[in-house]
Amino acid sequence: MVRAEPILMARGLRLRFGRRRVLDGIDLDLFPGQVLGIAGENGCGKTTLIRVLAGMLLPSGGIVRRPDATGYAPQVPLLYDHLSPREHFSYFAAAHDIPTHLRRDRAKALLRQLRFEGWESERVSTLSEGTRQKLNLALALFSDPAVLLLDEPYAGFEWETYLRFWDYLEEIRATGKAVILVSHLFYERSNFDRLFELEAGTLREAS
Amino acid sequence: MRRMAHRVRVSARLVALELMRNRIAVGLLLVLPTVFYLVVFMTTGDRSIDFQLSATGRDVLAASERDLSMLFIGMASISGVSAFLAFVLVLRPGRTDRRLVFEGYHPLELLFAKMLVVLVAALAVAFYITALLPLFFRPPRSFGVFAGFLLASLVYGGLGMAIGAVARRDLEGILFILLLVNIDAGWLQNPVFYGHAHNQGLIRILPGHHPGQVSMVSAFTEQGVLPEVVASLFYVAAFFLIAGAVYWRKVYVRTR
Repeated sequence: MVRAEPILMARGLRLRFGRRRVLDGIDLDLFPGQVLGIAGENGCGKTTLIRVLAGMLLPSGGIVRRPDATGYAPQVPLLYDHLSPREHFSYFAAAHDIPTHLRRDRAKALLRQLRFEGWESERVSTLSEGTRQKLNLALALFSDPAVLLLDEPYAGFEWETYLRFWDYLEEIRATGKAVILVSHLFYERSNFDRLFELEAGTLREAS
Repeated sequence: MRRMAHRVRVSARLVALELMRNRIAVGLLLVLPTVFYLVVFMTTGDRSIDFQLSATGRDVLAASERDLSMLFIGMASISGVSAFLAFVLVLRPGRTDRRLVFEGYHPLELLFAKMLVVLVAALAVAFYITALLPLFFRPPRSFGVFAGFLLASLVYGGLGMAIGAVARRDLEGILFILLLVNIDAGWLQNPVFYGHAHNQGLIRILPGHHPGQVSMVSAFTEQGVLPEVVASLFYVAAFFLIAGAVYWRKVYVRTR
């Protein structure tokens, strides 16, 4: 159900890289329970936009308001090569003060949901690209955030995991959580409440 | 405070695990000093060499070429290994550390954890290289030699962290460390060279100088080394501060 107050709000976001205007006055509202998709050609600035929304990159103009409980899955998995998924969960649990028993339960549920049980003790350097991507996403979901910012989250997933990913998003959407998902490719429009295209630094709602 | 201590503990444990699982870093630690010691042992003789130390003024000292070279090469290898270990801890994980800051860690918590691991690693490296030394040369005041090794390990550990925080890629950072260690600890701090050097002032401000004096003075004289220890600690503090400031800037995320 959509409420009047946005949980994440961006106004007038502007950013240039040299002469190139990547973001040119972007406004965006995300309401609880919404799933927004942002598509666009390679290099159009999708990753830049989501990094600005997450606070990982500062815009040259404009503001972003988001809750403290925001999860972010970067496009390129940011992981520690010599640590296992289980050790990554320990790291992230400490960041959110999640107690041990809850950490184990959540990690177990995510490993099952994203189908990479059995890899939890292996070092990241030995995991396939797809499994790294799963861990990357699982870490963003781990703290059960109110807003999720996902950059190409299912690149490298096999079809079954892709379907499970959408089942999971449906579940969390039903609890009032909101998602912004960036991808160069969307298979099903019905998964989204609103779909945008990023072109020449501006967002246009896809018809 | 308890939350911070818990996060530092978790982070330090995982940083240490990462370091111990890095085969190149651990391999370098075990192989490099042993090989260096062996090469120097096989290529030097017992003839007496005259040399000067800045800490003992104009006095001309004499020691066996082999003993002097063993101590010198111990300093050089400790500097290189410690700088590399600390560099590895900071550069590669930098972007992932930033993700942890986004998730809720304070940059200081991650920084303390890394510094803790660098301190322990410096101690381990110094202990290991000092433990190998008696196989070739037994200095009379071995604790002073160990103190010099430890200080060299800390100075170059701090420098490695600072380079790791500033560098953007592995190659440029490693090259810089190699060149600096080579010119400072591996060449200019050689006491045989020092006495006849044209610009001794420049040699005295290089990072390897004061720790080197602590070891050399302890090994070959009866003189105290407190001023050299203090000067070394000043370098340690300066490099850790620079490393900390640059690292903070690198991983900082605006959370609202």
